[in-house]
Amino acid sequence: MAARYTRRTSGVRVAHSRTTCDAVVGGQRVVLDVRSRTLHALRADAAAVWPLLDGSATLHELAHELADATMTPVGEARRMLDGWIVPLLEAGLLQVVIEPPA
Amino acid sequence: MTAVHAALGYRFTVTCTDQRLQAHVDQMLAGLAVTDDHGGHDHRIDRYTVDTREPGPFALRLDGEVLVSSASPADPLAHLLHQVNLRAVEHSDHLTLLHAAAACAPAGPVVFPAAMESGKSTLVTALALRGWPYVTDEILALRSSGEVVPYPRAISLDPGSWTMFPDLRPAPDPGVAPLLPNQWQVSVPSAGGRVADSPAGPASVVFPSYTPGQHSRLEPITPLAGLHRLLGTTFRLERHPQRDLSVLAALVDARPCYLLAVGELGGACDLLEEEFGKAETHAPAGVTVSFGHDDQTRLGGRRFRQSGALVTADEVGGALVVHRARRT
Repeated sequence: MAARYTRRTSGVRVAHSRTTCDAVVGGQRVVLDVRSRTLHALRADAAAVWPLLDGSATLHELAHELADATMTPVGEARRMLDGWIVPLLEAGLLQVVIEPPA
Repeated sequence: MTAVHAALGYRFTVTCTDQRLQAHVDQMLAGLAVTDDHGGHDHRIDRYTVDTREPGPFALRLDGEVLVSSASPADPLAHLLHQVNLRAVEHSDHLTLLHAAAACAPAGPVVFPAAMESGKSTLVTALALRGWPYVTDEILALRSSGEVVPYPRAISLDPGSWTMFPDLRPAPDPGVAPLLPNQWQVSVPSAGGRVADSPAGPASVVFPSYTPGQHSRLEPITPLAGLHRLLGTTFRLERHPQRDLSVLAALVDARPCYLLAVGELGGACDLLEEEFGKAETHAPAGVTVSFGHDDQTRLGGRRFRQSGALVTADEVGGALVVHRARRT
């Protein structure tokens, strides 16, 4: 499912949902879904990429950044990225950024 | 001149048609009185009138508009207290607000967040009587810097707590009694306690729960668990979620959090004193202590001995009987 999602959406951007805010507690990044008052504690790897998910870069661009930072092949970086992003999208903590037609 | 009161950022006056009730309400609200009526966050001052003239209907008015009209003469004052709390929250958008009680240990304020009917007021009353300076029994306000803003309203004790504090039973003028809600409003200074002057940031966060029939226990929890619980007690989180989350995250990151199972009230207070220290001893100003047969008594949780014309206080320890305390 994640791979199919990635192929279809490699050019899209994702950003923090407007109903979330975040903080660091005990060295751990937490994200609050304000609507449900649900507090999500992110895994260290997902927490590292969370600040980058501000909608300014596409998933493709992020994968390249991640590949450079971790010295891994781009394909591997994409799989890692998907593994973090898809659950966050499903939890409503991220939203897909829809750009207006050019 | 009508006194101006401040409930956090909310300023108000209260005028009663019954002068005896006015004196009672003035004493009840003394902890919220302000001398500078222009120093609040919101300069507006709401003016309440508690109208208990016979034959009724009895009313609470706000700036002349009827807020509540009832056949019960106790309803207007009960509604006033409720209104003040609600509007304190509405008018304090600049503060992070928790549904919590608080009192000061030697290291600083200990915050007790909990839902209604969890025993917050009961616990903070017991601590105030042990000499912990009182901060609030209902709404804990934090600045963005993390400092506590006191809200030292009279403590509201429900009937279920009355047997634990028989000495606090109010003795209003007989003509006023029918006008009072079915709740004791305990003025901490009148009970021999102290109100916190300008407390710093909280020293700790303790989540109390009432567990009758069990031993009281105090157990540490992780900062993350503490934050999760704090968010459940935050007023209007949707208004400034990032600010409030940052304030609360900084709090639990810097200060220890605990769960407190309150089985027996005295035991729970003992645990808190073991963990956070006992309050400094002092003789409350303006209070005369009447001594029992052994020339010593206990007031506000502290033990006093008679020494010539002076009243001196010392920590002797052990359980003592309260003989009598009379306000001058």
